[in-house]
Amino acid sequence: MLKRSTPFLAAVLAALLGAPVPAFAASHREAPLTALDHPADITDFFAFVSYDDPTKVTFLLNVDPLLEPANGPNYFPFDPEVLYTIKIDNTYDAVEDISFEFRFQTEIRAPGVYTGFIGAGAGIGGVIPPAVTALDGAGAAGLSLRQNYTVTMVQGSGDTAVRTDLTGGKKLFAVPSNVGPRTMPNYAALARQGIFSLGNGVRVFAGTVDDPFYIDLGATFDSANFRTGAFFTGSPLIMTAADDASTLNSAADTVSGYNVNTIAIEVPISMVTANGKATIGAWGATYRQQMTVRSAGPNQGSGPWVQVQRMANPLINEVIIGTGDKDKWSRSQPKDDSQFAAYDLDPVLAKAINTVFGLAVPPAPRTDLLPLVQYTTAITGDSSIPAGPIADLLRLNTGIQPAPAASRSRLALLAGDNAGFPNGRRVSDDVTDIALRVVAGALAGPPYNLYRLGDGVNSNDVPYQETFPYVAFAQSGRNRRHVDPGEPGCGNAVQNSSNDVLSTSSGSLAQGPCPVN
Amino acid sequence: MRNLPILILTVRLAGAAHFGGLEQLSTDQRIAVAQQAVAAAGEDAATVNNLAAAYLQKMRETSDFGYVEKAERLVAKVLATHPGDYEALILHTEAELNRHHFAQVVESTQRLSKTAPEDARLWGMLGDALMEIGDYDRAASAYEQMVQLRPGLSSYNRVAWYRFVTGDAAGAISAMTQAVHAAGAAPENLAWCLVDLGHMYFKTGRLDEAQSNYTAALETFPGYHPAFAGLGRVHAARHHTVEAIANYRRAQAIVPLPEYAGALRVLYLAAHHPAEAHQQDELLDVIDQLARATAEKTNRSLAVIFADENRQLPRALELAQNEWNFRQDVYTYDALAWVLYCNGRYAEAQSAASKALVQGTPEPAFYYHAGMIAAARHRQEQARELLAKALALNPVWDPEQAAQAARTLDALTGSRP
Repeated sequence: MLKRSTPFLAAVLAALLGAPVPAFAASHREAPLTALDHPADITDFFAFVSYDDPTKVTFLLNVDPLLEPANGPNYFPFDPEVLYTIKIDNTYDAVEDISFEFRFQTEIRAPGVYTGFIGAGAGIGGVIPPAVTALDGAGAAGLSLRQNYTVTMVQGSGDTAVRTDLTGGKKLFAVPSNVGPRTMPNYAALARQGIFSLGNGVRVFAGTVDDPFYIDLGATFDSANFRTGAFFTGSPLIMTAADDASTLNSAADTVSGYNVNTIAIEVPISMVTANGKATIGAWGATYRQQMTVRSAGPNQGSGPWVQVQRMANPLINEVIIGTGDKDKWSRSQPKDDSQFAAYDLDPVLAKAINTVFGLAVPPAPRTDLLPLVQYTTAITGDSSIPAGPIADLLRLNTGIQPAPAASRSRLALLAGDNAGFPNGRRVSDDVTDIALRVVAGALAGPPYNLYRLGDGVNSNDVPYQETFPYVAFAQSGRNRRHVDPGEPGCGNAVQNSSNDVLSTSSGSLAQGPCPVN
Repeated sequence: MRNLPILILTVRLAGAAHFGGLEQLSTDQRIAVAQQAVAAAGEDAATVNNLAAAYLQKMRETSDFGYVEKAERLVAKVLATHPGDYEALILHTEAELNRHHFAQVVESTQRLSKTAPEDARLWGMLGDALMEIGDYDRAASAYEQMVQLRPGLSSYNRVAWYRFVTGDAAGAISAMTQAVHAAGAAPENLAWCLVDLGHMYFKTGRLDEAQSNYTAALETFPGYHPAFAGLGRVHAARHHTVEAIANYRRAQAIVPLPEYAGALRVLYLAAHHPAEAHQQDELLDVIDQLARATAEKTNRSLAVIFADENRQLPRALELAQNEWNFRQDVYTYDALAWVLYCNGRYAEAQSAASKALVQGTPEPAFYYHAGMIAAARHRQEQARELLAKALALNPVWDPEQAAQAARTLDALTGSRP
């Protein structure tokens, strides 16, 4: 066979024999089949009455999750080929009556520059631009990659919809990620320039921000399966009363130190309500264009828009819908959700909770879960409002005043704070714990509302803003910190020798170590 | 408490799904999570399917076929206890596609689409199998279904492929560019599309764009061997032999595909390193030996490389003919045509070459092969036209072949057009 074997050949032979590649393997196409659509992926949707103006309502559509703040050079633009929408039903048929559509455009302003954003001080040698302090004009020279967007209001739906451009000839710039203090020395001031007033009481903001979500995902994935640190009762997922009441974290927030892209819009409540009724149903959806397969010439892709993702209630798709139907769910419309009712009304997770903890859960069909999928007086407070079809919408009673910061609870409705989830959803609502408890029967009344189920992460790693857009601005590539198990960032039981509590109300400022196993 | 790990995992998976699913994790992390889940709940079909799916992605990244075998064993276990499990059937079909069982894939996907007509993956796999056997019209219809159900990277890249094969280079590049913009979480998926886009640019003579896409692929997924090979090809086209060899060597060190050996052989000869060139030949022979040992009957890539080298011609013919028995797409016709030509069977070669050209696929090699065949059959006018077309697509697509095309064209016309 071979006359002699050289070291090179031996090495290649080893590769061939150790990992035998059928030689034919290269001669078929093997295109990626199930690629996740990152830019169009909706991670969270929020709807709540504005804290600083109860005549207004704010919607946040968060997309493209787990953005690592240090990931240059282009960071995280929105996708110009995705149509981002927020939809509102105010006639209780789960069909949109008002929608807001957002489309982005990317400008490459300095084609030769290797990175999306660059700048330092007053500029260096005519080569490095000055630090980025503005989104446009002087101080924006370092924004080599910049996006602007249009906002369109759509009244009605389908062929009879009336479209109104809200952009008003303005250039609305998306706020870039926070590169770091040298390139963007006063990032908060820069980000605030991304808040635009469009007239008629409408404000918008789009850009990369701190991800407001918080959860313990078992970050390492290769340690033991669950946390048994001192803060739990000894049973994972069941919190002590003290830790449950705390705003501090008993476990590491896996999402700490990550950013997300947000589209935020605040509109007068009167713009989205109708017929004197205060409750609306809302959801977010993203679309991509169809493509005709057989076409000639460049610049194709201008076919009709196809929905690729939607979201209203947090975690419904993940927790409630079965694996085989997730894609179908993503493409379908809320008004047709009765096809998924079997999942909604008999969730697998509930059975697991019952089996594991011996906790009684309400028997199927779970009519106590109906407030998540129909209009019910528990949220609307108005018996003249029909239930409507079973539909995954975030239902918000705009007549309920926002809770002041001091009385806002992460457990929202379950703690008597009725300005939060499942009445709409605020960024601070602990939807993981709420969802666990709701699935276990918390809305069904005693004895089902006594379980203090939770993941041990009660708050975000950085404080939110109390004004539009209500999230913390983006964490910087240079200074962000991911809190991992074993690292400081947890605990309310950590005190120094003077019995001072070392922790404050913000998760990452706590100094206790986060449990490891 | 036996089910506690399952509960925790359910919550974790739900949380992970919140961020777009387990695909957000690196493939190795994904495998680790899935293995944990199987250890906790191995009787649950969905849990086992998740692990099989992770293995199939790992196969894509490593070209290690062992992962397909692992996936197949898991899926077989699921189907033994849950015979109709839909996700297991999908994974089984994906594995079959990897094994080139195209007819079976057509049958399975058509059957499954009766119960799940809205699963975009079925239409994707159906289209893929139809493209491989040369049934382009039906492939287009299948891809049409896929892109209507789920526009995005997976469907756009298939539209791009259909357009390229059927002669619409500009439309192909446009569609693949959109695919690249719609990039998903797995870097390998994006890198794959970038490399394919690079190939489309290369074949139509745009070396700079080809190079920047191959480079972007490496930045996205470091160590991606097809990107190294792409850069090797660009350097070879520019007569940067040292860089070309370096890049092909890196590709070969990761996965020793016959194409890389074929390219290196030519480059070593050009660099006056006959001993290294001969090593590449030995490697090709080893690859062939291994193939024979596993009773592998079809291999059009190896057939074409042997034909290019003008050796092992009977074996090349055997491989190409077996491939043709199995599928009749334009790439197989082209391989068969070239091998027949090198075996001196010009009339049959011409018949095969004309079928390779019928879609107008912008492959310089197709036109070069057809041109040489026409010349051998003394069809001067036709030969000139075909060779000129090859060089018009990319005058430097392959150092040896482009030079041969130019020489032959000269001889036929007396002067280069």
